[in-house]
Amino acid sequence: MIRFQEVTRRYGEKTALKDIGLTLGEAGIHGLIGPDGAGKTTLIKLVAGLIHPTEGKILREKKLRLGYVPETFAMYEEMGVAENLHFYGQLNGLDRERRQKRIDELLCWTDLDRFADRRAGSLSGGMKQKLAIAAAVMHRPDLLLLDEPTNGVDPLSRREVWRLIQTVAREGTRVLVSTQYLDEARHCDRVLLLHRGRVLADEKPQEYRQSFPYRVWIVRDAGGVRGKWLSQLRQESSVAEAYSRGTDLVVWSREAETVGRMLERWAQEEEAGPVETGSPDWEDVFTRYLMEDGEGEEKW
Amino acid sequence: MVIRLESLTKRFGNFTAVDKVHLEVGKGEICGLIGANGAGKTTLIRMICGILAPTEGRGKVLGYDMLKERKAIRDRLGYMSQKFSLYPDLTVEENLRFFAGIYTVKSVDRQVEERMDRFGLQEIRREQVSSLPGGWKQKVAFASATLHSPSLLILDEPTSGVDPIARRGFWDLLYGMAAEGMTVLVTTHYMDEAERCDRVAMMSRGRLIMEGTVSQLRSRSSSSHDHIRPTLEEIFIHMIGEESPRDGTR
Amino acid sequence: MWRRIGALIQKEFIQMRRDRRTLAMMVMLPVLWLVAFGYAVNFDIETIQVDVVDHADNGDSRELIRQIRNQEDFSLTGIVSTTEGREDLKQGSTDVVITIPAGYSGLPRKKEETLRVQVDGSRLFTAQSALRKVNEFLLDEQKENMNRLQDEMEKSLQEGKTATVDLSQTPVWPHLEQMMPPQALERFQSEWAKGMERQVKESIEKRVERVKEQFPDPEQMKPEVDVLYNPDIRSVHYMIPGLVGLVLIFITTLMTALGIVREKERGTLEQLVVTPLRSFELMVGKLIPYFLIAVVDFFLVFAVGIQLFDVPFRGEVLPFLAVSLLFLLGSLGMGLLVSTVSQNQQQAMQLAVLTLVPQIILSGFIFPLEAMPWGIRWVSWLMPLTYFLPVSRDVFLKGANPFDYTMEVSVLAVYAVLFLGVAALRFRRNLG
Repeated sequence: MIRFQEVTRRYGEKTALKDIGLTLGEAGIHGLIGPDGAGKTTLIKLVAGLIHPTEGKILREKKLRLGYVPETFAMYEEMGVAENLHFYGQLNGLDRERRQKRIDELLCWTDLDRFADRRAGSLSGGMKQKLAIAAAVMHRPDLLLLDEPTNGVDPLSRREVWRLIQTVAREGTRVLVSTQYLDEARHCDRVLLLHRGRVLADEKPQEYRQSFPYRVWIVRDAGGVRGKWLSQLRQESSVAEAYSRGTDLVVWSREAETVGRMLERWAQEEEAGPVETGSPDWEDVFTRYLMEDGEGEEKW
Repeated sequence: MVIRLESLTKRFGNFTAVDKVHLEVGKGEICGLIGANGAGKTTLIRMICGILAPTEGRGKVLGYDMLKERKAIRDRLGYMSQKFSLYPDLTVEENLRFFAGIYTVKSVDRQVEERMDRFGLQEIRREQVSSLPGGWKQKVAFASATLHSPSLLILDEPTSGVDPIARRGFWDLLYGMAAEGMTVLVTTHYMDEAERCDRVAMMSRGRLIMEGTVSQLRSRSSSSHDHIRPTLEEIFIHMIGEESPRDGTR
Repeated sequence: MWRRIGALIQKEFIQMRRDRRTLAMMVMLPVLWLVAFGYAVNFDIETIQVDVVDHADNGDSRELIRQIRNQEDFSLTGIVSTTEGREDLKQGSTDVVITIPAGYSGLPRKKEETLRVQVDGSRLFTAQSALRKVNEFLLDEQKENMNRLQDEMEKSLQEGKTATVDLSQTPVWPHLEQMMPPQALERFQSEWAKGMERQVKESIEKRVERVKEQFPDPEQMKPEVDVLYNPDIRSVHYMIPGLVGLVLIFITTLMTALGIVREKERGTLEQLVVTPLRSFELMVGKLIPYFLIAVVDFFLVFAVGIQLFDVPFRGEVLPFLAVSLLFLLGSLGMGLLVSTVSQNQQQAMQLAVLTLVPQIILSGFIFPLEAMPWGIRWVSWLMPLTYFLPVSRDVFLKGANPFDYTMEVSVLAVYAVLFLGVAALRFRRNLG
């Protein structure tokens, strides 16, 4: 549907995206995940056609109907919820009857039906995002672009926003959504990891799990010994990474047995909880690519 | 106890922002304060920082009375917000020197050098903060917030939006400082971050609805879940769901 | 305390050094404004475009047209018809239309013979200027005509004396010829004629004298006007001292408001609040740098105003500086006040403009306070610029001592204290 060929985009001296080659348009939710400054917004704006590549080409299916929700709330705050939806429906040329039907449907999906007459500006952060998404899918676009819809939204509302995105995806709209929260990768059918203008990986979630090259151990209730253990573990050549996650201690290693046995022994000697084997979380996955990439520059 | 709040309440007109909060945080602890927007986190933090006076209740921070000894509290407090409140047009060194001046640190030169060594900022000391990537900015903000070796450090959504390696590095340093005796209070609605704290306090509608170590919270709420190990986010959503029906507007 | 304030001031100056554009704006903008406004607020129009409609087309009317042509302030656009004149006036290609009626003779005796002058009132200042100049010109014309009239009357009176001296033309002559011998008659005639002539001459001279006495002296018809302090009545001289105040209040208020709100926007203010820095120290540390810049601006604007526009400064600099600083303090306080009620730079900008624009109109900067109705004037009395303006003008043009203006200076002082005080209180509450 959309293909990037060696796309580079610069803003003055700054390179926001470098040599990006990728294909978008699989059914389902495509997550675009990376920290601030990774190039997420630039990539989404390129897809939307709001900006153009400095180098390279973007091939795009003709007559592709887009929906786009920018990072900042783009509804008219002084207008009501339904009024906003009517307006966007009119822009997309829906006649009155179809518009009303679609609005009723969307209000129901978003749980905004109770607030149909409320001023858009008076909604909470999560509700605003849901309204913006509803307005963007009034015309059932082929591709919906969402730029950080959950940024700064509290956990409850964030879950609701993701539910709405999933509903939209089920309707057949393909979704490209960016986020800085790594753990939100779990809601996606395909995950593109972006860092400093480059694509680290672009795969299905289970593939990430399967290709994770380390075994992961988690030592529970190790808060009291973390300082001592971490400095010891980091000297072990068999340990690829060790870090503290709250009272848990997380250890990566390629070697299956020795590290596990060592941790068991330590745990018995000192006051630390059970040692479990775990699976990598999304932050582990992201970190892995950064480590392989030799991203030492920002290392602490 | 570094922080001890007894039935602390703050009202703005008819609106109760913080409602009878009891909280204790011990020396060297990293305590996470989580809650949705408008749950009262910010108001509680502002009272602890000595910026707002409580309407009712009592509290001691670092052994000083929250009502009467606010200045003393502020002298011993460090604060860092997610916005990395640095002056973007000043260099790293100028920022550190400015905050050293504001905190009236003794022997500014030595302290600033020491901080830059410890945080590895020497090579970028002459760079303007605006030109630094997010992770570095955070590091400079962290260095300037702890320049005066505060006994209590308050972090407001400290690592949202930085890459995971920078984030781990940040927490490593934080654990190190906590081990040296610095108490840390982190407010966040980012559950990943809350999971890194020693203890977590959950707020909703001005009240403290749950408090304890992450594993305590897990075991307390596991009965209501099929999983053996629910995530903090699941616990949180479950707790708030029980607390009250949701209202969609502010 | 001073170490923290020092740190703030130092930081502020580093920032200014980095942000050359803002610094240049803070220093250059007032000068640019002054220069631009200084040239713009000139209400005096040098040459007036004149259309003449000549219905008379006689010697007198041609003389008048010649006079208009010779007048330096006038530029004769053309001799036109009534409708053309009206059209020119409408399009603005002429400033005045002077209509010379049929039968014009310089000294109108009937209403139909008076000159008509038309100006375009929608172009207020042009119309006023034009009217003033035309009136003056016509006054001069009238004087000329008066002189001419007097000469003519004298001449015609003097012509009357030769009419009655020759006895031979009178009916009594044949009787006298019969009564007297020719020689005696001749002698008598010449004697009589001499006597008569003397008599007539005396009476004519008396009459001329009387006429002269009754006749106004055209030289004295114009009042003797003595303009003090601004002898050429140049509006620039009136505007510049006011403009100095206006530019200063604008720059200081805006600069202070934006400087503080910028910190609010960036979140650095939040950071400062949780430090041991007290709100008072923060305020002082923020205000001192801006105050210094305002002082630099003051001298710049002052110097440029005097140098570039030749505005005389007859007062003394130091007392004037003192009063100006008082005025500046008030402006700083106003800026601070604006910053406490705005969340972002845009809001601060709007609010600052909102408080400043009425001052331009209502302070007496352009329109005299005396001309304003009671209710509006009351609003004017609330504005600091209203009090600074008369002092500034009188110090500049009259060389007055600003401290003689007790009421104005004390109001400025009250404003400075009030604005700074309220701002400080709000500032403190705001941070808390």
